[in-house]
Amino acid sequence: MMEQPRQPFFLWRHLNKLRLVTLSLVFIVLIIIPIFHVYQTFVAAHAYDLLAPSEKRLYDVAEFVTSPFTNEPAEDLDAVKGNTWSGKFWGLQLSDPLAVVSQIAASLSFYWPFILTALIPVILTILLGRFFCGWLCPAILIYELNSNFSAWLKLASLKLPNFQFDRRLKYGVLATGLILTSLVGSLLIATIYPPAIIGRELYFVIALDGFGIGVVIFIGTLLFDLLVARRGFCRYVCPGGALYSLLGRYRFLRIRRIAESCNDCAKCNAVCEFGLDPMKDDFGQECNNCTACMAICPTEAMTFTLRPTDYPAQGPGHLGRQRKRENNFEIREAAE
Amino acid sequence: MNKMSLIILTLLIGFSQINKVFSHHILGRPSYQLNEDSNTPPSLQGEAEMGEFYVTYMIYPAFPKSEEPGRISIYIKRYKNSRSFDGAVKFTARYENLFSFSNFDSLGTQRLDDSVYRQSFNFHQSGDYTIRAKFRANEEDYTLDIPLRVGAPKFIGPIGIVVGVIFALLILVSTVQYSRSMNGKTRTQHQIGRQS
Amino acid sequence: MDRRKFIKAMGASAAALVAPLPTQAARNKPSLRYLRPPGAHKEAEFLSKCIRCGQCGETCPNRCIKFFGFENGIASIGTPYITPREKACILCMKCGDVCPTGAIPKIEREANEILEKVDMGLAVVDEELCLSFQGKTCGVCYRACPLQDVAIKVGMLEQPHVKESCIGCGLCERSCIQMPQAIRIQPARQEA
Repeated sequence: MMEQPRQPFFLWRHLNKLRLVTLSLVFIVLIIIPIFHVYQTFVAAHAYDLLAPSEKRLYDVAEFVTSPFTNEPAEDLDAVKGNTWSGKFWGLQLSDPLAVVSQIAASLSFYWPFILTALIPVILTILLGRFFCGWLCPAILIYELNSNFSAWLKLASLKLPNFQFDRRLKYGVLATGLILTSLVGSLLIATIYPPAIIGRELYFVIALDGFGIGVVIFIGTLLFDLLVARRGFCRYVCPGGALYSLLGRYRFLRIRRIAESCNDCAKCNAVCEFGLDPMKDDFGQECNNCTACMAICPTEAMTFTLRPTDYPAQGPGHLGRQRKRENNFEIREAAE
Repeated sequence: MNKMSLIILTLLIGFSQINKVFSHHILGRPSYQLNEDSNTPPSLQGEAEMGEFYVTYMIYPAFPKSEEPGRISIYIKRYKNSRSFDGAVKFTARYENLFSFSNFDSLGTQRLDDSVYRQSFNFHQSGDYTIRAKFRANEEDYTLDIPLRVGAPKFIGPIGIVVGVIFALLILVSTVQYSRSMNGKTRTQHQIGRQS
Repeated sequence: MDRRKFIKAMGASAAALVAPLPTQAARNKPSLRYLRPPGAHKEAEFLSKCIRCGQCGETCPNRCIKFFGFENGIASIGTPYITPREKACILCMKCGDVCPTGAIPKIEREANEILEKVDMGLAVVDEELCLSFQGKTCGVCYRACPLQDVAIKVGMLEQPHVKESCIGCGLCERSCIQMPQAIRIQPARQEA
């Protein structure tokens, strides 16, 4: 009577775990880079005996970890430097497209060696969409923990306001940010962009005196998420997210609902961190392919598809209550 | 031979007398700089540009403690000719508390003494202080705030505490209460769905 | 070009609103004397090119590069600077190598190249404070200078005389045994 619905590849529902591992890895690397840098400066100074006990401990641990790989840590550990805003991996310099765009806006000139460092991220974003947001951004890990926390608070019957804004607000933030940046002639966007803040502040607190003001801005965004709008910063404000959404508008890799196996339980809507409606099919450019909806779907109705536009709305799922009611109605009508 | 060395000796002595020079052997820190009233390096040395002045400040001793006398030295010099400012400098101090604002208490007013303004202090309580130096030059008021920590340094600042608490809380709730919070997410979504 | 000039003019006025440049700042407010990393462009160009990625600080083997908070206005939040009295630049030129944006240009670590392209400031001796000028032979600044006899010369009693070719790395200021230091770097960026 009903055709056999298509099954998604069995590994795809585990991608969400892989994503959390990746995010944690990025965070750990951002912590390790400053620690190794401190170690490098100790090595370069040739002054082990003058170090404080805690610094000696750091030296010993770092030496233990790196000694199998390098004999000259002062030079060799330069291979991986920087953060997600702009970083160097074994000679390959990669930059955030937002960094390039805002630098062009600020200096009103094109410095090609720098612009080309964003080439690979831009190509990946055009193909995969807003993947940086879900898979690499070091801030998103904390934001997701924060959204879990606010859900838990709600269970503890603590009512927190959750306003909804227009998602297009962030394009406005991007545009005004770029205009202000070019008027002032200084990269103001870099000072409010959370992924850039996190990389920088982790370096400050580990290698320099302590946190800078970026941490205050970041805590402000956390409070905004908690008290004003759930995941509000990523959904409505983030200028980087706006740029990626624009770049990824015609991305090839998309998430698609198989209406035949969907039972309209709306769990996907609940877990979607960006507040999209996976059940209504038409995600638009905001989806970051985070695969949280695939992981939670009880009937394996979410899968990947390769096409430059979304599936048009498919209506309610075939296993859903509404669909069943309609079916019964049709059957009854036919019988009469 | 003897005559030669005598001549050299006379020349050397004469030379040193002309220039009033007594050469010092420099190994590490020289004692004549640090023994003014303390034989330790300053706990804090910093400087600021203010208008046409360089202001350099130092706080002695190396580890200021409560109920122990300390001293702040300020050098105020003009960029152009390195000439010292020679008016009066007024010193006030305030105990820094996160939850209440106390007023600035006067420490004293100092005049130039050998190109330095020296002000002694003796705080009765450990903690963070702000020392404010005020002076007036060219019809303008100049104010410089200098942070000072009396007693053992804090291991972690207020921002550090806040960040630590937030992280601990977030990670704890998300790991220990994971299923509950995910439940909460789906449940609130259903409520929203019913309303709309 | 006209449009660019117009935008720059707009920018200058906006900058005056958001973050007064050191020269336009209220004259009696305290501000820092700081150096930009070696070879950095003049202040306005530097601010517009630096993306605040912090890689210069992360490669500095001397950890002398620090980063601004609010101290110097909103426009320079997160930009690198050096306070020579605390830790001075050792002219390893690694920050220029690693800077992705050209805000700190690449400069080879070679004396002539550095002399030609690096201009962080100029050392100025305060003769009232300098021990050698008070008749106590010192000469520590001369021995700390990486460009001895080119940037700094000593006369009688090791009295230091700074020459025009001083690039302002700050090692002399760092090493000065006098308190406060008798030799200071006058930052070059203000002349921009």
